[in-house]
Amino acid sequence: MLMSSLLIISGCFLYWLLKPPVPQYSIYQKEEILYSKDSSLDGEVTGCLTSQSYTR
Amino acid sequence: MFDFSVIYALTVFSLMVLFLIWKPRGINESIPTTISAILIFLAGIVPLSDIFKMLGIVSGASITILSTIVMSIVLGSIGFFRYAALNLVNRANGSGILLFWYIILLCFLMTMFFNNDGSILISTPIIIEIVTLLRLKHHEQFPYLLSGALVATASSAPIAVSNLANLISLKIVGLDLNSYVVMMFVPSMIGITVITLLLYFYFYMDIPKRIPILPVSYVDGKFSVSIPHHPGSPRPPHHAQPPRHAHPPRHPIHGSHVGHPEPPNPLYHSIADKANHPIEIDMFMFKVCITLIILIRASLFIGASYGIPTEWIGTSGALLLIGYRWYQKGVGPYDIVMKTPWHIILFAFSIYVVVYALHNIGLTTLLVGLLRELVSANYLNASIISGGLLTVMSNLFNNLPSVMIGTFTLTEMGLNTPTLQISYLASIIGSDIGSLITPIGTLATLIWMFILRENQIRVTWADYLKITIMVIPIGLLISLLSLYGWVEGLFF
Repeated sequence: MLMSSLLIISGCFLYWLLKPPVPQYSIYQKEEILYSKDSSLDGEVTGCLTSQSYTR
Repeated sequence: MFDFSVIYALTVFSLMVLFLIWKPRGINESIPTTISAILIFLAGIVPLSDIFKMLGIVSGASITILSTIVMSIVLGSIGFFRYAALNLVNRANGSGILLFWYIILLCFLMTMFFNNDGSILISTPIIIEIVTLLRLKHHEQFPYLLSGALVATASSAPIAVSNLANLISLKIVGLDLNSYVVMMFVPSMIGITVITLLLYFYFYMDIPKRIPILPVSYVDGKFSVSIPHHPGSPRPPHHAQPPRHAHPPRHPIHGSHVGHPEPPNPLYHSIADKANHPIEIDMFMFKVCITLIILIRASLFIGASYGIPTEWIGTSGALLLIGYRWYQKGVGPYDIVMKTPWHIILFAFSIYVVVYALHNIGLTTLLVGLLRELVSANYLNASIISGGLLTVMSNLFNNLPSVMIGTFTLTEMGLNTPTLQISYLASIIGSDIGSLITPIGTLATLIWMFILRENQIRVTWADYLKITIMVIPIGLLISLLSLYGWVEGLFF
């Protein structure tokens, strides 16, 4: 009984661990968003995009 | 005092251990053990009748491992490892530290749910997928891989069915599955916690603090990762070029704009390159296989209570999975035959023969004579000495034959029931946790090294020993002391 309970609990936790998590922003992306909101960087980003040669 | 057979067996054994540790030209572990077993057999130290007896013992363990290998290969071929890896990485939410703890939890739960070999066979490919997807450097991969393997193997101590070595002599010492859990769960969990914390602090500097998340999409039967590509980086030839004035990438899960493209990060692009290759998963087949595996696992317990050998159930389950995969995907059993580490089974059998020879020439009698007084003196002695003895033997010649020798020794000492039980449980801690110092200590560790080699991840004995020698003895000692305190305080 005790053994079976432990196995069922393990199985439930495993299911929770391996199922797709609820979507959320990561620390990484939160910083990207903050980064993108910094208007002082706009010029540099634009400059970077327009100065690059681009071939299709 | 010593006759020819004693000197001969000791010489063969010493040479075998020397070659196992030295590993000249990186020879496989099974070569010295097989040659030693042949030499022992030819000298007549282990008769043919004993060889058949050992075949019976080792074949049970081998069939169980083989059926788990089949399960692992089928899981791999349906994309389960990639699926699990992506979900774990995303659950960590950008934190490498959190990912470390999730991997530890995964390995622990896998061992509780399957067994130590099954856990290694399923968790290791998931961890390899994780470190490959994240393109971690070798020193960043190692904390996840080694900590996972050590926790997966050590976690076989709390429950008897998690390790074949635990079951060898359970009835002989008057314990059943439930009494085993009641007496062992707490002390072994303390040991596992200590080992995990030591590994965490040891590897803290190597664990990457930040990792990207890998957003998953599942469309039309294709399971893939959609990571926005940075326009400034070179694209692989098979990718289409982005439009000149592309909109800022959308968050792949929420669908909202995330502003400008992500800051230049080569790691991010390498992940995108690998992960953007979609894997086609037939979700129906995926669900059927997972259901079959859970049913096979449940049948092992139900069957065992009706006296049906677990290897029969394991084999039937493996054949069912192979048959189903063959029917659905037209893939026969060829890859299973090729991917199975047959040499590990050969190692298990041959080392059993050599250790049995030591028993036949009087090792058990010698140990009984040396240790009887010490072990029977008090429970603390019984715990430390039995655990220590099994640790030494397991690291020299694997835990399966060591538990056999250990049990022979304990039962021949004529101990009272409480001392016998505490000694047996301590010897299990030695064989499950203490045996992790060297890679030959358990078959699970050998399987782990085999899987890493197959995936071109190089881990030497020195890499392994450098960490285990510092972590395992402390965890073992605390576990044995906890066993003494727990059992004496609550049961005797």
